[in-house]
Amino acid sequence: MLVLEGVDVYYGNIKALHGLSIKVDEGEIVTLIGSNGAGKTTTLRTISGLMSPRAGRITFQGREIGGERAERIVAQGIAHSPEGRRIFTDLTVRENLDMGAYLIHDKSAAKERLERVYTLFPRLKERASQSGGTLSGGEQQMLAIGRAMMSRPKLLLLDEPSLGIAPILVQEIFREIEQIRREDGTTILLVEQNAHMALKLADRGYVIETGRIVHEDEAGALLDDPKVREAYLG
Amino acid sequence: MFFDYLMNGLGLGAIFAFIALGYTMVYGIIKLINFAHGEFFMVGAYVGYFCLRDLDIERVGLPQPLPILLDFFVALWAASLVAGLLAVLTERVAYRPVRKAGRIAALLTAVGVSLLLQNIAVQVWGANPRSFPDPRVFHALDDLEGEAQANYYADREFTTTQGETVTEAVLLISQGDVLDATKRASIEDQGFDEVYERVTLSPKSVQYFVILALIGWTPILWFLVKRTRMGKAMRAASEDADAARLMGININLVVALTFFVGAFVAGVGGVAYIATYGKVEPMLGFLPGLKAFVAAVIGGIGSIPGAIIGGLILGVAEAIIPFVLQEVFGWEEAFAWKDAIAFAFLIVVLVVKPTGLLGKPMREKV
Ligand SMILES: Nc1ncnc2c1ncn2[C@@H]1O[C@H](COP(=O)(O)OP(=O)(O)OP(=O)(O)O)[C@@H](O)[C@H]1O
Ligand SMILES: [Mg+2]
Repeated sequence: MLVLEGVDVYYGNIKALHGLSIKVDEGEIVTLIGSNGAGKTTTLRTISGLMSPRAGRITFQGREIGGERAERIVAQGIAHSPEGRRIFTDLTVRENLDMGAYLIHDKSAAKERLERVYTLFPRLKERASQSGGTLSGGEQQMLAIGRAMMSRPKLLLLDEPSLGIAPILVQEIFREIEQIRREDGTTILLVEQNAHMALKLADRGYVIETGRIVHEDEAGALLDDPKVREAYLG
Repeated sequence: MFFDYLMNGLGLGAIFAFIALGYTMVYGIIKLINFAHGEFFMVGAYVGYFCLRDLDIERVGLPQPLPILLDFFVALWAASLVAGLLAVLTERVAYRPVRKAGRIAALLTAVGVSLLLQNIAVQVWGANPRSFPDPRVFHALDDLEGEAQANYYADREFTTTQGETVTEAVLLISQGDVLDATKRASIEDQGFDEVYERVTLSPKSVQYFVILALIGWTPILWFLVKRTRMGKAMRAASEDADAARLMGININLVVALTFFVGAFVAGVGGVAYIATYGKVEPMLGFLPGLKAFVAAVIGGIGSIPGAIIGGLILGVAEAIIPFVLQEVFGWEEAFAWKDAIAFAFLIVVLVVKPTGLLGKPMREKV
């Protein structure tokens, strides 16, 4: 479904991704794990079009999307829930969700999406008219995921949904991610520092170090791999 | 007396508010202090001026005062539309290319655009101030009889020694003249079968108009920003442009629209401004533009209600503070210092509340 081949990405003159290649098949949950500054966020930002690769190819459903503008990529079915949540704090919860459905012009389809997201995250419904900034960190994360789900994506990119959130809420959020894959049939690329939880949820995983993929395997195999255990599972 | 000054202040403040809106909206979305905004206002004022002077909308066959109202209505829309389109064009050719080059580059570009537009205005329209064209009420000569109720004029074209063709108003009948057969014949001999009287707008009527216009526009803007899809996109993009793009929002479109709306309402202020001060000139945008910027900062730059409140407060302060200094403290020159007072007021507000009245605390973007 999604294929990255030999992707190079730079910040100015600093090379952040070195010939990165990954692929995600339809219906999978794939996780990308790695330590601080490894290039996980950069990878997702490049897929969703916030950054352009300087070399390599990115194809989504057989179509080259590398370097296309972000607003065009979301229209093709890739939604990105960014690192640090990035919800609109001045907008209400409901307005945040409306923004997620910005490209859905059919009112009844948008309403259906809203109902779906409220079913996934009932707390968002309770807080619909509250401004996004007044939500707790965990609720903001739910809003960020819910907002991304509003566009009915085929592929959902999640950047550290567990970041700075109480463990009990993290478990809840991971259950919802699993549910999104099962019930909506959404394919998921999950970036995490919490490698243990991510690998338990995912089908396959990639390990990224300083902008290069250094391991890839079934999630269960990575969980058992002694090198991975030592570096990322403490 | 005090009430008159208060109304003066509110009228002036409403004009500041109309200009301040554009500063604050543009700043809100791309963090640019658009120094050329005063020039959009100036160009709008010129467009309004030419509409009022040349379109002859006052001639439409409706009972008074409808033709005059229609005249202003058209002038206002034309002024706003042209100012809005100029802003969109400026953003496209001058600001968008430097948007990623940092804030200093953008600011310098804005200063450059401001000077450029002033210079173009001088070249195209001349540096000399032109006086505000009073609306006219036309009368067929045959309809007039007896003692004249007002001064009646007609326009005559003549060629100057430099070869320019100039239109000049000729006073044909003074108020109180009796329009007898000889007078009528002499006017007809000069080739006129129609005369007009001029309606001088009282400063009060302009003040009431601009205050009412602001009262009318506030809910429209509120609706636009709070309730429409584009308005929500605008607020989203002003908070986090990247996150907005991930929603599928086309930032360029949103920015262009913001420039358009900001300059559109400045056009309303432009027409009201030349009606208040009675003249239009290429440098006209500078001082009101600067003060409107002050108003936007007082209100909290980036905040739309802040711009409206800041404009009104600055206008009232500029009218009332010198009045109080003169009447209560006996400082005779207070009014000559009103511009300095406006800026001193800004400094006081910023010392007390650095983010302005309704501004949000600065958030560092990560
Ligand atoms: N805006 C930027 N300008 C310059 N360099 C950057 C920028 N953002 C990231 N980098 C660099 O690119 C590299 C990859 O960063 P990235 O944010 O993708 O890492 P990450 O794996 O997401 O890390 P984390 O787990 O801390 O979120 C790092 O070396 C980082 O310093
Ligand atoms: Mg990251």
